Amino acid sequence: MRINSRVPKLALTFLVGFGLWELGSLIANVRNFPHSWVVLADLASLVITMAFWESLLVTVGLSGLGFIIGALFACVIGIFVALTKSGDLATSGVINFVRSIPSVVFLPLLIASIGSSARTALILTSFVITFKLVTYVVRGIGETDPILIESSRVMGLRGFSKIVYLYLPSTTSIVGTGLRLSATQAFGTVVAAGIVAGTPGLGSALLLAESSANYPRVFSYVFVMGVLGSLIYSLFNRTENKLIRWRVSV
Amino acid sequence: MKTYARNFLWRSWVPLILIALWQILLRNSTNPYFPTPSQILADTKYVITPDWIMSSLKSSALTFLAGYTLGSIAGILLGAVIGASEILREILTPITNFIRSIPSVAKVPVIMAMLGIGQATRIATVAIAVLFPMLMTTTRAIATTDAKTLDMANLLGFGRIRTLFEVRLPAATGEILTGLQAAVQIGILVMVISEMLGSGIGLGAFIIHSQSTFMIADMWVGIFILGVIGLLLNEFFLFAERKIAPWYFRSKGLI
Repeated sequence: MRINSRVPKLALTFLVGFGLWELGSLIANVRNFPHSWVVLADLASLVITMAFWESLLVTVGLSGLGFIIGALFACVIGIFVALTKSGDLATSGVINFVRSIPSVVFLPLLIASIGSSARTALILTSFVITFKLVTYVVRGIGETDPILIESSRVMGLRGFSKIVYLYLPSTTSIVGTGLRLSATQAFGTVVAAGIVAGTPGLGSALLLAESSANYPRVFSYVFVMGVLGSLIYSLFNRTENKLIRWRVSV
Repeated sequence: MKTYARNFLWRSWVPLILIALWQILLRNSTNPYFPTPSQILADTKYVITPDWIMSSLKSSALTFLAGYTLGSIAGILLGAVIGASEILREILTPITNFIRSIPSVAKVPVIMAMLGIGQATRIATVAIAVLFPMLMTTTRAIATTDAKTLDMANLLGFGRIRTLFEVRLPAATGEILTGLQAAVQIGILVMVISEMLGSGIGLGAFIIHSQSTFMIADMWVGIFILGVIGLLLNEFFLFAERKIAPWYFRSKGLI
């Protein structure tokens, strides 16, 4: 059986979604899991405040900035590690070790040494993204077709132009996947910093609502985060599919 | 054995140099937040006591193992059901996509609001954080079962349920295992966050507590222990998945 038209399908999705939500507030305590209409009403009153847009902008800005800084670091380190062949095994061991430490445990350290400002969230995010992406860069360069490397040598490509004309196009597919996964993680890390360390943005706004037991507000923020997360994901997914049409995204 | 030893040496020169650099650079530092490796090492034996193992470590292990097991089983089963039915898939995918897009950190306060701050909450937060990625991986893997294999099952007169359990799920093993490995990191992260936000027990709480009482070396020990646990779990999965479904990893050129 197949539902052919888009509209009834979407309507069904909404129906099921809100049905599940209502089921949730039916099972749980309504005070802590408010009805959907209560949350939507609260959301409506939330989006007309300046403070909301400010924290939204801060979160998006910090995620974007942390993402860019992290990506730059990852490229520099990744290219260095991959091209100097500086003991791939050993380096990847260190990178894997750092990656397997859950990022939030660095928050207490950052709070203690520099306080919980926007800078804290930015440093953490850049750090997380650097270590996440660097493996993709190293893997991408490592998997470059040997024939291409050979022919680039024949054509006399060297140094910077070798990176631009040989490695950049051939790593696009792997690094693209890494970028897409990192983008959502950058957002998640900024939110985590807000919730755990109280750095400015949506995360600390959510924490504030929770500590004052304003649960409709908590759900509003969670809803907004879901929308933002989906937007970031689909933005990267689309750009990636457009840029790299020759392969199926993983 | 000899090659193993050589391999080990080869693998450890970069970390050893980094640790040595750290030691030398911070030898005379008065920055209280960055102790030297030797100070951290000296502190380790004060941190790892039987008492600590029975409280912090045991609680974290229980949270992670129970949450991870429950979450992945639920995720795989739900994903299998959703993946096998086109109509369910079309209706539910936007919803699961949306829930997964909410950073797992943000789900923790919500679950805490509903269940309080006990062990059950911590297990539930880890389970839910693991459930969604597993559900989506399984859904996709089940939905993309090779059409020829499905035709064959049809020809052999397999029913829907038999096809699901004997054809679709086995065919999806490789992808599910990869998903299980990726979910370890998410599980540990959420475990730490749920412990940091108000439980007072477990490794996350230990790290926060060490920071607030200025036991900075203790905090570093906690950070390293989490790193080691994550690394070991990761290695274990890499080893196990290649033992369980070697054909999949061979076909992907990963062995």
